[in-house]
Amino acid sequence: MLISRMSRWLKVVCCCGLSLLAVIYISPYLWMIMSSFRPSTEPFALRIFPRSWTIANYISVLQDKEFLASAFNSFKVASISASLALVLGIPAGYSFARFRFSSRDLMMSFLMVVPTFPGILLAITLFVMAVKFGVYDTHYPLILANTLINLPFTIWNLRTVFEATSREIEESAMVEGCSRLLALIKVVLPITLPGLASTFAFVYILSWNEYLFATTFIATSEKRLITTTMASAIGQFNVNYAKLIPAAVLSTLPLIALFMLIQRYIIKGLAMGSTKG
Amino acid sequence: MFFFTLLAIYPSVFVIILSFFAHGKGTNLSVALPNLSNFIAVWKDPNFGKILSQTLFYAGVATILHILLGFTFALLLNILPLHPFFIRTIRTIFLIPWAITPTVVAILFRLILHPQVGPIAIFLKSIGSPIVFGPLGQPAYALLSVTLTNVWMFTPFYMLMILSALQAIDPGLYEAAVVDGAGGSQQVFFITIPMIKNTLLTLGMFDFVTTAAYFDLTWIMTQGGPVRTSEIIPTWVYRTAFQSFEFGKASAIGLILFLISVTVSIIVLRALDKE
Repeated sequence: MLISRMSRWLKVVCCCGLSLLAVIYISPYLWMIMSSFRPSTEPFALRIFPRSWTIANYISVLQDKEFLASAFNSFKVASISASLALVLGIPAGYSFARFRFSSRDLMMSFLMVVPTFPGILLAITLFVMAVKFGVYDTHYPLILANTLINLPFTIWNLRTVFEATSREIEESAMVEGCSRLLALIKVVLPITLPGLASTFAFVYILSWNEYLFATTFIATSEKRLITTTMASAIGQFNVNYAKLIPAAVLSTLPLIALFMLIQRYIIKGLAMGSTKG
Repeated sequence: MFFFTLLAIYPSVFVIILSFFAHGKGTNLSVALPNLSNFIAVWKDPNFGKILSQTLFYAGVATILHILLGFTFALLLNILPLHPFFIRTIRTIFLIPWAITPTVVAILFRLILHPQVGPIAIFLKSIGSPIVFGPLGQPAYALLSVTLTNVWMFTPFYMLMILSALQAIDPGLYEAAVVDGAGGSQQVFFITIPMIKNTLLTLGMFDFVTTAAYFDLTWIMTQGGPVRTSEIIPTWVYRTAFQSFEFGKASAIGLILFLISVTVSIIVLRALDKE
């Protein structure tokens, strides 16, 4: 701490100042939320709050088949990718946390380097592969790509999660006659459940947000993900703002809430990457 | 782990092969000897220099602003002796832009900067200003607008990273400095910054490399336009690969980007090693 003492008034001023700064910082998004409640007769007025509030926009979005279908597709792709990343990441993260092997540090830093490989090059490769294997325009390459790009983070984060649990618990389970695998499944995984769930949620968010692969691998509009549906909606000549804005809010607010819940479990894993890498 | 290595290495080898062997349209590998014709084609492309410098501008400016703003916010949150719960709440609010889907961020700023329906344009019109406000459609401002949008979106992430580095500094150092009579700014410049310099450099490197390869915002906001003034290497690769289907050339461009990234990383890592 640089400043240790402050008068009470100064504290109040600082609190207000910081809050104001934060609100100004996120004001573009607040504007979007406000706009989503405007009736379509009063689409883009200057006033901050709409003159009359309406949820008609939301109702029309929720009745929109295209929006619902793409949201469901995104849900499918994101949850399968996150599950796969977890299934592959748990053994890897656990080994990094518990075993010492000669190439461990090298492999950990390799995991740090992988994200710097341009996603667009990965998209080209996977596109060509997808066409060759006949899975172009399906969700399989998307799931694969999302799992792949999020795996490094998953492993890093799970490593910190596992390192935070004490060895004694699983060792005592092993003394009782459990194999290491059984000790991992029956003892370690239940304790680390918050960490695992947060990792899952974070990968879920990242996969939901992914745009590049979604636009590369999917051609049919029924198979589109939520990001590509919205991006093509804004690209049209006549943009239906009254529908697009609530759709954008609907597709982000739940994830932001989820993100706020889990952030404290993922910060450590992220920060480790930046300080040790 | 093996599976992962396979998945990570295979694509990189594959694009290298593509860049050397595949010519013209499609992905058919020509049986000719490996040659540099794709790289030469990229080098000779009249837009190469322009797009490269735009990419460097985009990534460079964004990196500098991410780190500067992120550091300022993190410092503010770290030094003020306010209630921890309040600080945590503010930090969470600051994180929101980073949690928003990039597509939605792009849409949001397209709306805000829109010349007819955007709030800024409406405000300017209401006060009778003659300025036509639509930076995304103006060649001089499009790239800058996308860059600043990127800054808005990703600064929270760097703030978070820098904040956790700041919190790792031993408070005893500051106490010792206070005993020696160091003022506030002296503490920042002689303790805080040297202590987190390595983290800043690593973050900056990571930032530059990932921003230079960042596709989503630019593509949705401007598609590289108007008249390719906001085109950066990732969008160029995308255009070459998926609109004109010249996969060999696209791979070559992408690899040039990757080479730049690797060079930057090596320079920074060397600088870190010297410590």
